[in-house]
Amino acid sequence: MRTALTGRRATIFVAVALLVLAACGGEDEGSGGGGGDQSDAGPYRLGLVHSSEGPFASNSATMREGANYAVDLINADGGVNGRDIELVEVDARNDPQTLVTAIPQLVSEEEVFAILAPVDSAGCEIACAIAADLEVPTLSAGAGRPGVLEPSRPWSFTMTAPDASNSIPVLQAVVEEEGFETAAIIVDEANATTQAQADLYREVFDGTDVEVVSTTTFASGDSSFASQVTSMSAESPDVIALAAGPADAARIAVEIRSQGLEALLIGTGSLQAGGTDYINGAGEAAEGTLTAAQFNPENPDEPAASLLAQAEEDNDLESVSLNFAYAFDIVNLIATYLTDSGATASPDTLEADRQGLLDYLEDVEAYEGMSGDVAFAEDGTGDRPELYAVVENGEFVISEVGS
Amino acid sequence: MLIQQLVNGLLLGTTFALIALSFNLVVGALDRLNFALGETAMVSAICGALFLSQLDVPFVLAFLAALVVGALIAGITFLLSFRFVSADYHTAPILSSLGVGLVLTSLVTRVLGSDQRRVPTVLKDVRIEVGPLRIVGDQLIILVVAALMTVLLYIFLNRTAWGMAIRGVSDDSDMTGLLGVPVQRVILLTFVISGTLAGASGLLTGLSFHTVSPFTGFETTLTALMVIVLGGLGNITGGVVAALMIGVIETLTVAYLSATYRDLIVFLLVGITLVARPQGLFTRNTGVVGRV
Amino acid sequence: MADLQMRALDITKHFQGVAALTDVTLEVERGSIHGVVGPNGAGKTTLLNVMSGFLSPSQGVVELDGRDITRLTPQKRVPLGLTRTFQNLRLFGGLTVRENVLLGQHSHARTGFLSLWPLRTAGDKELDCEADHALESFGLTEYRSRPAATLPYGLQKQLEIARAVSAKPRLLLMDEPAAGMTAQERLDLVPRIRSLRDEGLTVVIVEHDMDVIATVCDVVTVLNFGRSLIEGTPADALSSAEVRTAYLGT
Repeated sequence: MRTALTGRRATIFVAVALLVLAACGGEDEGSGGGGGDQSDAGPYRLGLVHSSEGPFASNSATMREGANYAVDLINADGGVNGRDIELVEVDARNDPQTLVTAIPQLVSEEEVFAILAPVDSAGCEIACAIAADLEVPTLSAGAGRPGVLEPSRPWSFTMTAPDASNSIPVLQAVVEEEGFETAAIIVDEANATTQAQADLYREVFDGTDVEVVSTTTFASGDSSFASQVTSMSAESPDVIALAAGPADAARIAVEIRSQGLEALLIGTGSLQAGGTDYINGAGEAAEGTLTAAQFNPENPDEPAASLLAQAEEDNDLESVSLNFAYAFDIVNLIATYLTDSGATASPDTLEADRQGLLDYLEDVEAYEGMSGDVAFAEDGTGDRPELYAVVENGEFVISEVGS
Repeated sequence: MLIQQLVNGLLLGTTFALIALSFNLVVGALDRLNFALGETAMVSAICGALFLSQLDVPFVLAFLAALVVGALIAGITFLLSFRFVSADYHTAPILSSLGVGLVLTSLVTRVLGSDQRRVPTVLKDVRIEVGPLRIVGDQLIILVVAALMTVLLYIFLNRTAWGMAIRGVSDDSDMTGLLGVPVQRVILLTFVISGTLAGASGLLTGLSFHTVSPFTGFETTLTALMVIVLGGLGNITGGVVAALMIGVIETLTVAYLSATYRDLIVFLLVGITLVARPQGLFTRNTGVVGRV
Repeated sequence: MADLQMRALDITKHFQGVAALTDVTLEVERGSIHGVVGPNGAGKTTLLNVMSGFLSPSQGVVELDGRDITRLTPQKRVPLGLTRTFQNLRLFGGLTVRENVLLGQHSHARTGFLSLWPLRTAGDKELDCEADHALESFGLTEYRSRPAATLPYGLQKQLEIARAVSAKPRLLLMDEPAAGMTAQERLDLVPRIRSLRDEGLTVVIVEHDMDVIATVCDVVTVLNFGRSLIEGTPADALSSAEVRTAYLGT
């Protein structure tokens, strides 16, 4: 008993000590940065909220890389209006409580001009709402869940097109082209995101006169999909729609193939966004899977093509992922606004300059970035091209609908 | 399709049976639950999966590796959380082994990352079809290996000196000590065997689920608890029957109702058992306690 | 001087201030059958627990073959040749009759990691024979494959003695062996205990039943209210006036 307790106490002690150290570290940076009067001559400061923990930790890390890469390029090129851009980063550790304190701190102590919001929808919703209260613009390089921006409009934007508006037309086009007649849907019932995906599929099949012959459910904690796949295989559907996170979708795909079903597997854009998890998890079984997509890392159009190639080379990447490109474009959008408007973002003009950024983003039309043409819809979400992706030889190959 | 679903359920149940056996062995030997066994199964499975996917070794070798890892971890858990923890505090081994489980999970995520690990399909194109019934190669492996391990365990317990000693300790450890049996060594052996079973269950579950995640440890423990409560704590045969039963119930629920009812129905069943047959649950222990 | 095998010297045992034993001395001769009798609450079982190590005495010394074993645990006394049976049975109910006896042999069986090998070795065969012999001499052969718990009470008592004997002790402490037995079983018990003695075993019997004590014992110690009343041959001890008063109330 005693040994166990001391062991745990020691762990707690170390944990507390680390937290205190982390907190002190944060404060030190704050006082150091805010101490001098740098607002005129100092760099433009942008907040960036990432998360080193939680289900979207890897997306978050990618976003961080993309933003930093953009800042490095801009600064190396002489900065904006002769001033550097500086990213003030906060690690939210997937904890909403951290966001509640970190966002006001970024605004009041770090005096950031705008904030790159978390890539995960839950974090983004909270962070953007808090920032909107403080009248600070936020931009996310992810956050595709419908309605995420509602509490924080007009102060918030996301580069991502919501799953539905992007995936429905894409999948409808594919289903019509292939002439499918029957479909099965498998859905994680206990999850709002996957339920929304299932609704999306129903809309796709409704609009294309495909009969949904089987709807099976699963829940986290399932240790086998044999039952679900047996059920759907009894109806031999032409197409199976995966309303599941990438890891679950991968397991389902393996089970489907191991039971010998030949049906086409389809997914929404978020399956492609979480593509590595899906492909690594499913291996060969992922081959042929078709998803909607909104970002093409092999985009042949300029200037995206050269930006992507350069980014791959500079960062030693095999291919640029969605969050990287979106974050890169966000930083460049802000930099472009600052250059074009000559905004100083100094304390007396800060309010007007932030409003100016909002107006600029509302009006931006086909800004040519790494992710292709960037524009925003009325509700602040990204206006993205309608693409689809097919898994070939272990990677998503992206094409435009109709091609 | 009902028959196919029943077979699916029984196959799911066999993996539950192994982990329940693993828990029941320890309950028998020590009247204590080793709450780290779920994580033990997870770590073994991840090691096995790494062997399969990274080193590309034959399944048999990866499986043996999982068994060894499970045995080692369970042995260490015995020393850390049971052997040298004061027997005066009955809750101490519970908390301590829960702690071992937490440490195992975070060790795995720190060292190997929090990614799911793929368990590649072993027998790719094997598919047995008997009338409407279809059994895939890997399901066959799960069935054969689980049955083999259960039989081996039965033979070991009933036909060897050590097995007899384990049953003796499980019956009355003080008396066994009086007969000159090295009780602590017998208990260590029991833990090691239970770890082996946990390892087997972990990798076989991984095979049926196609991946292993470092976060499933406690879920496994929960499932095992459901099974052994239903089957009677420490009752080895009861555990196997309950495991198959829960496997079938879960599968049929998913197939004919909805996955969201799966846990609900199993919990209800266990709840009813607890209320209606509480005397059936701790029966084998009161006997020992009564004699001391 | 007789050959003393075991001696409990001036044993006093208090339970929360109440004296269960006061200055009791018991000297057990090698090769004898030594009875301890007394009315309920006389301290018979307490004495046996002190001798076997289940209780440590408040005062006094326990010696085995001249060696002070007062502080040894029961487990440590077993290899020295001291084994006991229990008034309330301590059989392994789930194990078969034969397995109970086999486990009893454990203290002198080879149980290294080699014995994990499921194949039988020569030593094992010898043990098997011994076990079968023990079963036979206690009339248990026909029940050998039955779980011990399913045996009638009297047979369970026989089994417990058989198991204790399988440990090849040199001194056997028996706690009320006749309790719960039928008249016939009691009759059978006497020659069995005698033949144990004839095989070289020293036996100490704590017993309530006068008939068994009177027939089987060489020496009897009578306890009353935690004190030793008298020690002598059964005939002498049981006929003394003191004993009759204390024990029979006459």
